[in-house]
Amino acid sequence: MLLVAFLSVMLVWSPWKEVDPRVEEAIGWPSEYTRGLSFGVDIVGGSRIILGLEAYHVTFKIDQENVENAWSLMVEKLEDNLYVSIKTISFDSSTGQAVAEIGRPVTSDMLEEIIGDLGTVMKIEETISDATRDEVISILETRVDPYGTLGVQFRALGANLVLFEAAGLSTEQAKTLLGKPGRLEIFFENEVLLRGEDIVSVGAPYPSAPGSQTVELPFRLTNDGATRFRDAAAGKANYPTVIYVDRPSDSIVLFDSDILSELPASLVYDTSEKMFKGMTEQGMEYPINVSAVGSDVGELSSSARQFLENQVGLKLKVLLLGDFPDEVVENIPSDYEVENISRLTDESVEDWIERACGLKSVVTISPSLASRLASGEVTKELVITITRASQEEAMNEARNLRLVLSERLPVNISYESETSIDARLGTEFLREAIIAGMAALIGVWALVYFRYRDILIGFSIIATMICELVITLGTASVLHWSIGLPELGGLIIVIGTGVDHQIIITDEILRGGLPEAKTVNLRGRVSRAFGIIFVAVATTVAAMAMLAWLGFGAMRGFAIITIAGLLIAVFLTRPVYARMASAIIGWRHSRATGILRGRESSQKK
Amino acid sequence: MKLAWPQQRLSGRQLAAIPLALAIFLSSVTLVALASGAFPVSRDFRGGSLIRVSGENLPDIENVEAAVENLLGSDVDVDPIENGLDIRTDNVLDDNGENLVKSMFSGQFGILEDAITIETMGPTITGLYSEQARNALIGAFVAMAVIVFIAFRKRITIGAILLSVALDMLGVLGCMALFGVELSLASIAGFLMLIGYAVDTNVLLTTRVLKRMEDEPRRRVVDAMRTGLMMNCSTLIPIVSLNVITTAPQLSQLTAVLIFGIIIDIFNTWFLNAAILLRHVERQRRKGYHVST
Repeated sequence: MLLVAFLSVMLVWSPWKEVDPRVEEAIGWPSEYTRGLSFGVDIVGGSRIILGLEAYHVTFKIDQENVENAWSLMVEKLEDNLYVSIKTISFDSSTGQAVAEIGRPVTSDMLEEIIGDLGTVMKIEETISDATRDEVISILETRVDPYGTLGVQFRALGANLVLFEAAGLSTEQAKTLLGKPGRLEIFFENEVLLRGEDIVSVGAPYPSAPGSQTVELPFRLTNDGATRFRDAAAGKANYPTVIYVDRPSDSIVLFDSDILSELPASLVYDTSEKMFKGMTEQGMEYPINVSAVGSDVGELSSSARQFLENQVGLKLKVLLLGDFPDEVVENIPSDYEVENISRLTDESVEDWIERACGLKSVVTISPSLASRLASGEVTKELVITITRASQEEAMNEARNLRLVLSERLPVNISYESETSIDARLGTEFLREAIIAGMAALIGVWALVYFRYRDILIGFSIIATMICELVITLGTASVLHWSIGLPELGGLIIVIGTGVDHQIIITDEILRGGLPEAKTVNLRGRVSRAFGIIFVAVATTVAAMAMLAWLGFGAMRGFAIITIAGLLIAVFLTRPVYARMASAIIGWRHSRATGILRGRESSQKK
Repeated sequence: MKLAWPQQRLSGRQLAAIPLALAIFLSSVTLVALASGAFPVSRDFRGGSLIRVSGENLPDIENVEAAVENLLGSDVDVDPIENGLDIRTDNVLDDNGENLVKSMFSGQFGILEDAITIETMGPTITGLYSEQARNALIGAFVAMAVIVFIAFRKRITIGAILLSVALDMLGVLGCMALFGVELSLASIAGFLMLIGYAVDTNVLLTTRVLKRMEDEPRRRVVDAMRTGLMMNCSTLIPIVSLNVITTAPQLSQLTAVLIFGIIIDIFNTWFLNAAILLRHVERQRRKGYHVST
């Protein structure tokens, strides 16, 4: 147990991790020792917004002979007119009924006008499928916090509600982040060909053939976008299209020139154009459209300085790739805002450069598509084909690309509830909870001491409690549970109920010492105590599991931490305490009887 | 031990009368509160908005109340808090409404927009929360009942335990109405915790009385009660200290429910359940005599 407790202390402390500046600001020096824990918004301050996802399931009756064809025609018409993706939830060709999910408010008049005589609307109900809800959550996650640095959290609350928590942000800031999609640009032959608004919908990726390493991602363009795409790409087999999100077009990348030696063959730096250039597998070159200039880390090279000076007024920002010391940064013309893009752990140079430039993916035009376009065909349905070493890898890539392309959310979102928590208030709550915890430990120790009049018993009860708390926190750290107010409440209640079991154990063991009690051996008495404890814990765990399972997102943490605390108690710390208590009582007993025997023997003499 | 004199002296009926009287009193308090609409329910279930104005030298409460009521055209409550005012209304403000409130404050009282935070809780959420709360409570009660059934498998004991836990919950509702503790997500979590926890002492009592053979039953009850009260005290210490110290409404609601519950549970377990069990054991013993003679 001591080993586990020690491990937990290390996990909570995690000296190898960096201190989260937000936590440091909120709780001060203790943040040094709690690096392994993540705190909820009600401790570090921030906002909690509940989003309502507006989606409608519409039941259509198809009035045509060929239901399949009529249905796909209807879906197409709806998508083109409503500008949202339409998902088929169910389709029954025998009855001619189909249910579609539409991510915006609709009326039956509006829908019937669009579908004309293809069919009629039977029913509209507001509900959302789990798949769509999860998709919206993923899109929002990539939109709000693409690299997981802000520590925001999304959680489905049930029905069509999603809880969004952002530490350290006001509700206004959080709403701005949620509302603002990334700026999507698709470059072809060095020009922007398509933007986010040209994409109507992105479908789910699927493997080209069972078990193949190739995955296809279908998407749909507006009429306008499709025409532009046809004009540009006709006959250009294997040409690369380059997809960017939030391309820093107003910035210059200043990179450490040492990284050039790490570049793979598919990426080169063009000194004359001051740009990186990539190469597709078919050997076609494409520029990464962000100005970049290299320099030694130790000193700003003259060419870099000159370039930066020339671009003053044209560009506004310098993005640093490399550990440039302050004195070098000071030499950058003061007209620029400087931002450091630090390299993530295990990130390749290529990924680092692409991330800084907002490059998400490079897709080539297939020869068959190029020839189809060349024959004058305008196609709105396009497919991106992704081939990787395994189907799983290709699937992941396709899913990421889908999120990137889905600039338009598949459903409308509304703000159902907004709460903001002041960081000062949160710190105050934490401080109070810590004081309450201390008071509780002292109070429990006093109670136990007055009951049993035994310092050792009192000490072992408190020691067990502390170990239990620490191990529970360690578990929270390993599993990345964030500690908020409900969790603090749970921890204190774990102290309270935990002591109960120790009292049951102690009383059962002591009862053996009462003169009128029948002699049941020590082990028997301990196991009888555990009989009671198991039932007691089972009921609490069951009740808390119901809260976690059926209950609301906000209180789930309380339930989970209580369950964890209780399970740790029953399976780890209780058995240890039972050993300790048996040993202490056994030792006292033997000493007492030993003294008695000593007297007897002296009397004999 | 003096604390246990009722269990040693009083008859079963007298023992049971005390918690039943308490339950009747607290249930009637609940009923009156519910009927008069005075039962405290938080925004989690009722919906509405909270406008929090922070800062010093704030205008008079009456002025603010009149101004906001005038603006929204509905009843509002204004409470002073440390360094600010909390203004509650049943209206769910949308973005437009929020801006109206903010501009009213800056125009009429010269309070900056930054000093105002508005929290809202819409009807979709309150509906979902109410539904989830109900499901979780029913689920927890059923799960608890199943475990108790597996552990004891005797109709009378299971009935006694379930009765005692159900009365605990009714009693807590009464106490909440009496002391003005709001029914919120946090207090519902307290209720669920209580379902799990209140059983503990009942399990202890039942195990000691029915599964142990040493001593006579009344003596076993008293003995179990000693352990049980000790358990209750050790649970109350952390919860009371948190309740006294904390200023977080969530934590104080959660702990208040548990404190009420544990105190009421003392009566329901050691008076009511004990009386039922003693009667049961004595009858069994009489039956036993019949068979042997």
